[in-house]
Amino acid sequence: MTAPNLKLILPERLQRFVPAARRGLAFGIPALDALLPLGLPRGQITAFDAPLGSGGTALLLALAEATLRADEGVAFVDAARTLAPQAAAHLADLGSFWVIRPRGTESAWWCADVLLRTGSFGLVVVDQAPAPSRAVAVRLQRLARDKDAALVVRGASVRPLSGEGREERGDAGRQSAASATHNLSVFGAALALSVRPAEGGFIPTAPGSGAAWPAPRPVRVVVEKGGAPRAAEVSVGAPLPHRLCPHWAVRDRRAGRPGGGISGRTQRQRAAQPDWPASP
Amino acid sequence: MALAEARALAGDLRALPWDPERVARAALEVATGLLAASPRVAWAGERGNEGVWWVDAAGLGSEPKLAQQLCRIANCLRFGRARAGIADSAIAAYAAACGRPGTGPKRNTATPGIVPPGDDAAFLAPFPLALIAPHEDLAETCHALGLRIVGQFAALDADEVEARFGPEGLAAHRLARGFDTRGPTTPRDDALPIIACDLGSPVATAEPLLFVLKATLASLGSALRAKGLAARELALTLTLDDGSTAEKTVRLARPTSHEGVLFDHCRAAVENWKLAEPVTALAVRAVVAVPASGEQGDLLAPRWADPAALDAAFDRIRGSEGADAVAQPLVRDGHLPRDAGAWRTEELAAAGERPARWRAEASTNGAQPGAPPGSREQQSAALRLLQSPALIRIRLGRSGLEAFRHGETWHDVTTWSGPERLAPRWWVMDGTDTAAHHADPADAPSAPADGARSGAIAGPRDYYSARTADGALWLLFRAGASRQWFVEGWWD
Repeated sequence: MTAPNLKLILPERLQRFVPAARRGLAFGIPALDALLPLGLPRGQITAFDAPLGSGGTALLLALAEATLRADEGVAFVDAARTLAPQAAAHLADLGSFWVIRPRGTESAWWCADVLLRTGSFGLVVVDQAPAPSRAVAVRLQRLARDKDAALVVRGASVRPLSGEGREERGDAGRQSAASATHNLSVFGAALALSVRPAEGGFIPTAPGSGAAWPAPRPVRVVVEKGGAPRAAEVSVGAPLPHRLCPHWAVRDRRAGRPGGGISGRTQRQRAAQPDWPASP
Repeated sequence: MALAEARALAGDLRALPWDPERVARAALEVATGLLAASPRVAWAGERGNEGVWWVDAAGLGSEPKLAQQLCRIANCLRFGRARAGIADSAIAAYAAACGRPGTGPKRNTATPGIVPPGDDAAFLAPFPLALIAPHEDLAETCHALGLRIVGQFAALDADEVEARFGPEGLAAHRLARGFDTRGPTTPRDDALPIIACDLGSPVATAEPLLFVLKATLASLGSALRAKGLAARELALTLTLDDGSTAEKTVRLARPTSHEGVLFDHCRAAVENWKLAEPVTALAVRAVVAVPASGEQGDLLAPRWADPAALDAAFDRIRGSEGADAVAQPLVRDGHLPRDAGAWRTEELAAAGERPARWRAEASTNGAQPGAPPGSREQQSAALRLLQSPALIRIRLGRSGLEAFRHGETWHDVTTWSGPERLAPRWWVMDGTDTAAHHADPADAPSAPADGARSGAIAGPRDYYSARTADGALWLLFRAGASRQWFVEGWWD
């Protein structure tokens, strides 16, 4: 590298070592980053409350991607061993991204402890582990502080969204805030994020249509830091079927899609399910 | 001198067989005495040069005085005819001690031969070629060519000498030019360090043993660093209360001398060690060591940690949670959701460069291909897969799928998409057991949950995506063989 280039590059890169300018981790999602101007705090535990199916994994992977792009390592402790590898494969090529898949959910905290001690990771995510004891949480928080890493905890105590979850939707904001406060106290977290489907966002536009593919839906992220909760909406896209060409520039010509063919169940669809059981 | 000639000269001569040990003892005695004059003394020890010692004269002041002191010491040790020579190279010093050619061997030990600095080649030039002890072929050839003295041989071209006589000829040529690698050297201690510790009283639990082990490994790390080494493999030896010993070898993922990393590696071995008797003593030794690499961290990297520490952490996790506990995701060309990705669990260097084929594979597969480049406004939901498909009950209505029951909960379906008929990899299976025919064992699902037998999910599957009333998007399929419904995962 030539001296003029070095003079251009050095100030920018050295800026990261100035403590005052060192900020937390960014999500890489404009709406969330606007909500957290200083980023996800380092050296602290962040409680992430997202029911299964709410898009929490997508947000965590976005956080991991932004962290990797900032040249920091990411460890993802998948306590339930349910993360599909294809969902996170793009991260492995960005930097030091490791997924820890312990045998039991109880081991997740021990794994996080071991990983934090190495000092190699800027972000450690513990996904779907049972709530730790207070002593464990304190130890992990101290480790995160010593190693200047952000520890994000997504608890398993939150049950998957179910039929009973419909009551929550009516008062999503209040429920989210209550859950965030609960997480702040359980984990000793400095920050709590709650992810809930936004009002009306999860209702499909064509109910009952077998051909309709679920549209992208907004989710509401509530940030609680001890003061008044603040919220932002993030859109979580519905995945395309794995058999179709997934390139974004290729039009989706399936029935029921904008610009697509026939809507509703067609004879062609019926032909695809010749042994469809009779309705009761 | 032949033995007969010697006996003719001395009738009471007593002939003894050559005893290398006695010679070595005498040489050691002399070397020890010479240490009073110089800190670096080495016995030449070569056959025919048993009476030669190399002494480092650098930085010791007056060279004539040093030579006289050496001769005095030799005299005191019953080597009354000892001679000393000082030069830049060992061969020139040896020649100087022998005396200039034509003048005969030096008799006067009070006037040592001292070669001025930089004059070794010129000093050696008039000596007979035998001084540099060429091997037989070289000696014969030189004699045939009329080369009699060292200077004539030194005048030859080095490349030609090497081409004609090989490495041995080149070594002789270098000696003739005054380049000699022999001489006094600092003795090397090649033995790998062993640190032992007596526990005092028998220890039956792991905790006190780990406490002692940590301190022991710290000492071992210091000893390794003092030698410029890093341990590749350690041996833990425990002495048990009944006098027996138990040994375990710990292979490190990356050579290191860092006590914390060494301890991380050894801790799992000690914790999982089943011993019949309490432990009374502990010894740690480096079985395999390599020169320390002195790896330099990246100054501008926002975070840099010892790669060996990360390897040690991964080893601990693998030791406790299984070999597949540490993994990196990889996209694979598979048409079933479960086949479209894999976990790479092979033990790679944590912070090292990943294999090129791996990078190429990852970039070719191109994760998140459906996302427009640069778009960050919308996140793609991530697929979560159950470890094995779970049997569910469904309720059908006029519009098709109305609800399904997973566990104890009924999920109302608001919209669904499907079916998409996919066949498992029939070319690697016999059509009866999906679980047993995965190419990658780490990828193979375990026995299906909810009591479903693996045979129940064999055959083609009709895949459905179902959005439930709570907003969750599920991945369901109906097995062709059994016509039973399963949930395989959900998007999150």
